[in-house]
Amino acid sequence: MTRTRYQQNLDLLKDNVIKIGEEARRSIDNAMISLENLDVDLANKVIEDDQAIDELDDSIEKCVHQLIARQSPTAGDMRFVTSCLKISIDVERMADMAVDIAAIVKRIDEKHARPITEIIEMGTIASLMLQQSIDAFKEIDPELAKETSKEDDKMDELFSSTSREIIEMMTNDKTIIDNASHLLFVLRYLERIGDHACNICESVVYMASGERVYLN
Amino acid sequence: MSSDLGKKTEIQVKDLNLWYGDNHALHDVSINIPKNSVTALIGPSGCGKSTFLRCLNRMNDLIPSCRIEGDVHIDGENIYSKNIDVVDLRKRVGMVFQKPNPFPMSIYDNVSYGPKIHGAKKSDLDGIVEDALKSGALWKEVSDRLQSSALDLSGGQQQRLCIARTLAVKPEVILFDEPCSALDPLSTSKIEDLILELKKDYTIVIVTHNMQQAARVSDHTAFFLVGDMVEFGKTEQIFESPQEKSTEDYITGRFG
Repeated sequence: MTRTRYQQNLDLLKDNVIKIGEEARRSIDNAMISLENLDVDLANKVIEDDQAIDELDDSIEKCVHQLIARQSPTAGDMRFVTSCLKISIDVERMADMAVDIAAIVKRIDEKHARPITEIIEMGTIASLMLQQSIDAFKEIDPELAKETSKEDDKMDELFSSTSREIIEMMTNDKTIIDNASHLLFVLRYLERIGDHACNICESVVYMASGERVYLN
Repeated sequence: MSSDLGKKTEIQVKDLNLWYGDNHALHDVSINIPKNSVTALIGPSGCGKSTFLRCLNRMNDLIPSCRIEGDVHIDGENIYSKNIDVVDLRKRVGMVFQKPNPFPMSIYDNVSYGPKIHGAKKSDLDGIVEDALKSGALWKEVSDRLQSSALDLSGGQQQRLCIARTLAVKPEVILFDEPCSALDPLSTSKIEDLILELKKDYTIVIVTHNMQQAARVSDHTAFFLVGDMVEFGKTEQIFESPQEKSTEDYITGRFG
């Protein structure tokens, strides 16, 4: 093998993208647990943990810039390096959504109504989509990426049906408007997390084959 | 391997084989090089890219042990047919080498030498020299010292003089054999800008070991490996998604 240092930098970049994916997934899971249990301490932890994720995103960006400036990656390497940058941006935004959900948890002060079941289900799918898209990146598996993106249809359906349900509940009982509108935001954040997971899947397909696909 | 990129073809090479004695140096190379574009030939040392380049103006004829089979058509004419005038061919297909090689004479005489040999009128020479030096992006730097020795120019200027000298005889095709390998980055960038300018009027084929140079200046890239042309395509495709693993290994520096 030639270009040993170059390969080491590429390996380090890959490890960091996998790591930021794992950290973001933990934040999403914690945000959903904190929502389910109205656990303000856990919500605060999600908010605090975001700094480490932002720093990881910064270090990935620096690593990409250094690789481009010093190693001039081409072909598969170029696709890998540019995809890492895009994936990192998507993951960082997903972690921000987890923070937004955690911030909402701190504002909810009563027991929620029934739609929480669907919201938790969306959280589970969002977390799984992130995990699978990062697995697809790790294994350079475009088929897994394409499969994962199909989950987004479920997310969109749940978003649409659950938001209708919440609006109906708000219409029937005006005393829950505060909490219910918070929950609408949570739905929106989870739906966006699904979209970002699709973006990651698109990056994986491009990275693996050079093919530009739209999976969202 | 053969390739056709759909644009109007200037150089058509079909089943080209070349031997140096017993050494079979080029194997069945077929390629259509489009007109008014830059085609880069890349590959490790000894892959046959310079040998291939030299086939395009029959420079290999000068090597006694060299034997060539196959067809090379330039603008529809088979350059290996018996009735081809090789001197005229080299006027039509100019060449710029790795090391600048100005004649030991004045700047003016370097540029006017070719046109004089090919019968240009004396009264036309001033205009020809000025046009060629302007096209070679050297005029502004030397217009006040045309009678100075070409050997007093810097390396980069000498190389542009050699390009101007080639342009003075109005070729159709210009072959560049690693034209920047002896130059500093600034001179290199001037030559690259010049190549991009020249492709409007000429068909250019360039051999380079500098991957980034191939990526910067060429429209199409051909990758050679041990006498085979492995892959030929648009430069953006070769550098973004090459089809062959050996191409990928070479341009990402993973050979060896």
